[in-house]
Amino acid sequence: MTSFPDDASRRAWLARAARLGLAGAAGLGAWAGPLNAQAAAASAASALALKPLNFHQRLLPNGLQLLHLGGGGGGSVSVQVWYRVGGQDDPEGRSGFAHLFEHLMFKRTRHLADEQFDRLTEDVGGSNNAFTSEDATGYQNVVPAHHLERLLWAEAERMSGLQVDEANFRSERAVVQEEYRQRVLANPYGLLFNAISPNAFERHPYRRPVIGSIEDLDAATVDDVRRFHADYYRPDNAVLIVTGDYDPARLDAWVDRYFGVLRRPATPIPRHGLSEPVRRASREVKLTGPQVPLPAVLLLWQGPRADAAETPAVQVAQALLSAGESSRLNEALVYRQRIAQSAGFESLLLAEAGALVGYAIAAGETPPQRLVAPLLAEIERLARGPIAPAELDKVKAQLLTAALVNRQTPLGLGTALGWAVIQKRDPMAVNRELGELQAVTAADVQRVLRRFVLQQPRVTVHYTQAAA
Amino acid sequence: MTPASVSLHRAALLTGGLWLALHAPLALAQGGATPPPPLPRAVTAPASGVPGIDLPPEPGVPAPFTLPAFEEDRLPNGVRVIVVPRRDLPLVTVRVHQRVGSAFDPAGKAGVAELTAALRAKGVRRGGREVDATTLAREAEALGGLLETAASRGGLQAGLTVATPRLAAATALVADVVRRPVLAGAELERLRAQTADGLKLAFSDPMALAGLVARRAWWGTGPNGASTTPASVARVSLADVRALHQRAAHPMLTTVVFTGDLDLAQGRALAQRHFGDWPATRIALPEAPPSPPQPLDVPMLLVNLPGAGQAGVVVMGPGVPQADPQRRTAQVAAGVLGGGYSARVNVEVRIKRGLSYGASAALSMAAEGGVVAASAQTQNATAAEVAALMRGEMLRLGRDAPGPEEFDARLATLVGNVTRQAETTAGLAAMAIDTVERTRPLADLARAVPELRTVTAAQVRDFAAAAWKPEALRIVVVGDMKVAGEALRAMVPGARLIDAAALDLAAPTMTR
Repeated sequence: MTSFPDDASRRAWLARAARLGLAGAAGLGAWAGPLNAQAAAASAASALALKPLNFHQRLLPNGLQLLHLGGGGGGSVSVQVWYRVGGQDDPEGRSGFAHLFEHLMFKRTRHLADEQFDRLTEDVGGSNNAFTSEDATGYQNVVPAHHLERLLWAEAERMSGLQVDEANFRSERAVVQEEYRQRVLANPYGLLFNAISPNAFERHPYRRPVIGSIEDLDAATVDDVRRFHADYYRPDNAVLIVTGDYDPARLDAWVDRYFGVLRRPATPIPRHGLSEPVRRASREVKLTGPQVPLPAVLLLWQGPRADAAETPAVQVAQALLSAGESSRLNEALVYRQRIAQSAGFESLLLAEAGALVGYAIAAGETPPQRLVAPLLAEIERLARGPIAPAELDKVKAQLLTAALVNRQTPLGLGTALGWAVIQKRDPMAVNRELGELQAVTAADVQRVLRRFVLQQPRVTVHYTQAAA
Repeated sequence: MTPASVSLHRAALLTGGLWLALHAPLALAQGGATPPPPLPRAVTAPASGVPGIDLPPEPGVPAPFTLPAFEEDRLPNGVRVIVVPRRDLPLVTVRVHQRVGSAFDPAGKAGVAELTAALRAKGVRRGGREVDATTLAREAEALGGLLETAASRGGLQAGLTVATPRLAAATALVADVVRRPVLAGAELERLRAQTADGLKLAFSDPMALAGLVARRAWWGTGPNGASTTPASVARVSLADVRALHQRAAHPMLTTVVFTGDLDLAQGRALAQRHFGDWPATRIALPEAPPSPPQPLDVPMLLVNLPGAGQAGVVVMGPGVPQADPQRRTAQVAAGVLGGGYSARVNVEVRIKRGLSYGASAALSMAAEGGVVAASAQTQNATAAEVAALMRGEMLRLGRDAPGPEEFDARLATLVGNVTRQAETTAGLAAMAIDTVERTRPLADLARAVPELRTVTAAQVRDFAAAAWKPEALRIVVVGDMKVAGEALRAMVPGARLIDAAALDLAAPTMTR
């Protein structure tokens, strides 16, 4: 999992961590009065805690999962539908299809005109968006509270009555191809980013980038769209999430009225059934691009899947290595050694397999080969050397604050619930995760690094300017 | 102005790693106007039917939106304190703003303010000891937040967002950054090198580069047109940085903003503790040199970036100064043109023709003038078509006033942008600082929505007709001109072509 490739800062991982739905157990940290700096610095992260999210859940007879939670900013409500379908479900020879399909969900249905979702959201002062990841496709609306019923009707409508014609299909496919060019071709590091999936995975469909390829998108047809909708856009493959300002009793009645009537198909939901084999050998990849301002290197290892017991320790390791200016990789490679413009370590926590990614973009004239040893050295130092309790406390405070920042809005609350369902297959995970992170010890961090990184087979990708 | 930040409305692709994007060393969202939007396009849904069955159910009764209270006070030494209480979560943003910014950057030295803001966070004196950059970052991050610094035209900023129990420590830390920075030469040298590397990334990205070039092409060589470049950064000396820091170091120029889980008394007490002993000084408010728009002397500027995977296209027309009586009209006009998904440029460029992932428009205002910029990324081969479409929409707005449905939609989007910004502590802080930068009272914020509602569709059309005449528009395209150039030159006679490798944003000719 995942993030927005357009984001422009190293703080990105914080946003991701927040999206993982970090939540806590103990009581609310109330106003504690002025503390002095020394006292605050000395007190551990344990002084901070979050209230659990007391959401409600219900399973409709047709299999639709409903989660709802009051709170967030007053006056607005977020209505989200997350489908358990993503890039890994792209049909063979149709990479990028789940994402293309997501775009088409904004076209017409039986009773909605093209782009009428914008009439119902943005045009009344709300917003809508959607995303496709490897594991899920999420549709995320925010509207003034008095528009809630309209959105529930509309989401049920496109779950059941999507209509796609050839003209709409072609124009939206062109948009998606332009999105591909923007992300992969125009961004100086787009080609490198796009090389992660095929090099991190070899057999699981995760090996195909979610954005797909121009050729595979060209091969897609309107018939593919109809089949995909029938296969995956059904109540028993969806989670409806409502957060913010609403009346629970009316919500329940509306959900029954608009979603309760949708039929659960008798056919099973197609799943590919492929798994990722254990990697046996290391290899090196040379990649070039037409506009590479500074060379870069990627190091790819196999990692745990999102719901593995090791995941919290991996997340803490990631934070120690790359969260913030004082993180180990930034301090060593960017600040002290001055060999990198940026450096980091990320875990791709996907539902069925994982990958760990170390990376650095060179500073000045540093050749990419010279980045590998220092990157490895810092990871090894974390895996074998001392980890001060204060350093662990620091990253735990960062993770907690990120979760808190995300809980300010109905959109953020709903998103936290959604990821818990997709990644942990359990919305209650949203109230366990922060506790699990706070419980991670230095020994846990070192154990997962030894297991997944040290002496493990690795794919190394060098990225440089193509010859003129 | 940020034409580079085309909003990628909808369909974000989630998949590993954004880190690869440019790491900007100076990160803190500039407060201020997000652009707005509008829509024409008849909705083709059945006009008759039963709401809740084959039509959307009727909306309920709207609750009136009220902005949170923006409260303020002043310390005896002149430091202004602004507090916006929001008590539902234990979270607070603290931000300090000083009213001396990049408007004071000397000619040819764009980046003094940016580097000053950043350098202040690279080492401070705390309680008599010197704390280096790494230790300071560690102390900030131990509070759970990320120490953010920024320079805008109107000010220097530093701040962070933390859980409530960390607020006092966070305020102490920000006060040290603002009042007791070391400003070491070695750290400046390091920042210059990092900034230059970061700029290499922007200069390789067609849309990012188009944004920088467009700013220069509209505002000319004054501070409003200046962008930090590797060459300008190399010219910034430690003396420049220290001089700007000294210039800002007055209580009268300083505002401390707290938003979130506290009240005015608590905010005032914290500000008093950390800023109250700062001696008051009598100074004249510094006046920045004026920087009026100086649009390029040719209608189109093409920058050749060989191998660029797309072209970045920007079409600009006059806006208004930030204090102009027509500013609300200009805001709505920019909204109708390109503020939202269903706004005119996105309808033409993306929805009807599939030429781009997104086209949008934004209004930027300064004291001396303003600009409305429509922008999009597209294939090199379709750059001319996209430029012509966006220019055509600017001209058309002067003829075709938005219809009632379109007008209401774009107005609602503008209002919605305000209400959503008010949902987060960081958004509230940015709103407060925006008024400080514009030297407007906080009460302005509550007036924004009612004032927007007084604008009419005819006023929008008349504004566009008067401001966006063909000869007043300017087009900037960055892309692979081997592919894009011919059609662009055929579209507008008199285009100027510059190679990206020869570009010098500070030079009068823009070339070295």
